[in-house]
Amino acid sequence: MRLLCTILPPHLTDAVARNGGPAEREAILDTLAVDRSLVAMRMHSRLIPSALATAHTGLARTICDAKNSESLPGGEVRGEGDIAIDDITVTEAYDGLGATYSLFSAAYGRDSVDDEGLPLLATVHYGSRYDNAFWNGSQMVFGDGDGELFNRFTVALDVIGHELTHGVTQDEAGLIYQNQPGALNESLSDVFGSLVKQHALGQTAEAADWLIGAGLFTDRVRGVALRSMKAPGTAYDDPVLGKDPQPARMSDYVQTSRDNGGVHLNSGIPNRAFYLAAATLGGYAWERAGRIWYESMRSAKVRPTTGFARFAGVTVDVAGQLFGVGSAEQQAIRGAWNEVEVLP
Amino acid sequence: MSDEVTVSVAIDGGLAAFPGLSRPVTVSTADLPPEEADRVAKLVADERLFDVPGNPPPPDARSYTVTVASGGTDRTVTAFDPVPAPLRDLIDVVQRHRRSA
Repeated sequence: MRLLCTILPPHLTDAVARNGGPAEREAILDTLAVDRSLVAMRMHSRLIPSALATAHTGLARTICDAKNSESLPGGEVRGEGDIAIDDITVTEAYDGLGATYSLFSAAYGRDSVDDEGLPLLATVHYGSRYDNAFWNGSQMVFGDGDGELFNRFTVALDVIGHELTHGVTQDEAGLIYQNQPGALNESLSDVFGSLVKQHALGQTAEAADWLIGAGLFTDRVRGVALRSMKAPGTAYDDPVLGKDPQPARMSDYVQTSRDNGGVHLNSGIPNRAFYLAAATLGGYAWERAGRIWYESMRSAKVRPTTGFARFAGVTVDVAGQLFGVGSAEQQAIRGAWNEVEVLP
Repeated sequence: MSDEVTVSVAIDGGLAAFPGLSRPVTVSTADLPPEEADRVAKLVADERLFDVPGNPPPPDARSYTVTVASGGTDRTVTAFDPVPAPLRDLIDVVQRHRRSA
């Protein structure tokens, strides 16, 4: 499991190196040495193949069960290639990790979250009636939901893709989780989360529902999903949860200190830009719009503090590089950002 | 009988930020059954309650802003998942009360 350390945040690995026991220290120091030399190598040449990076490549899933505690990762219940066990959440997590790996591998040639074959770890049955799913910097965590408002959090494939994409973003753009860069980080997770689902179902842009988290609400909630990329602000309107607060254009951008500066609110703006671009281009959204977004998030021009306008500019440039300046693809991307008032 | 203690909890963030859930829920020991009130009194007396990691929040983690008021003073702490034990227990009491209220 040492490979897991390769995407731990540096402050964490450094802290373990300082304060951990002898065995932990040795493992972390090894990882840091490998990690930093590889980062240096990649910076010198982006062409160095990922085969240099680790002994492992390919899909390697582990599902653990926290048995309703909050200790991570919990006991292993299914490893790569093991037969299914009689627990739907374990099956959904295992299949969801596979579908996410499959999109990034088949469409973009990426080998897992770090493009170096990182083994994928997910913990299910986290906490008691826990109403959330999150990426803790090195693994995915799923609650069972309270059963009153929320069902189990493995039920939505795009949510699994959303969480793993946080790992990809952490590895590539490193966008901070605050204000506009944070909302862009959230949007990238929604974009690729939705594409994981569309890819798995073989859906075109016209056939897709462009919802995030469909199926998560119990039937007591008035709403269809957590968010709508197609029509931000319309996913739910419920007496307990309130009304979906997502804006769909820059003039409605929400300034707030809550939610890390509204990262789950303002993501509606770049989400809609992606939807508009994909809908204009038609066909499978992961092939053109998705490829442009993917190459943009890997661009050296996208930095941890990049906001909407800078990212939008990069997508227009990348579309020109991939499909030609003035191509239909580039025009669709520029038009989409214009419609949400990010680009003039 | 110890002094009355009020505890308020606001949940924010998570996979989606729901405006309806971010409104604080407040519970007073005066309104709790005696054993729950005793439990709250013990938890808020634990100094570790306010000892939470200062790391930046991981993506989609929920944040919990907890305010404890008693004897004319109050203290507020914000923690992210996974929340350390004494604070987690205090949040659980308030959550249970929210459901039974």
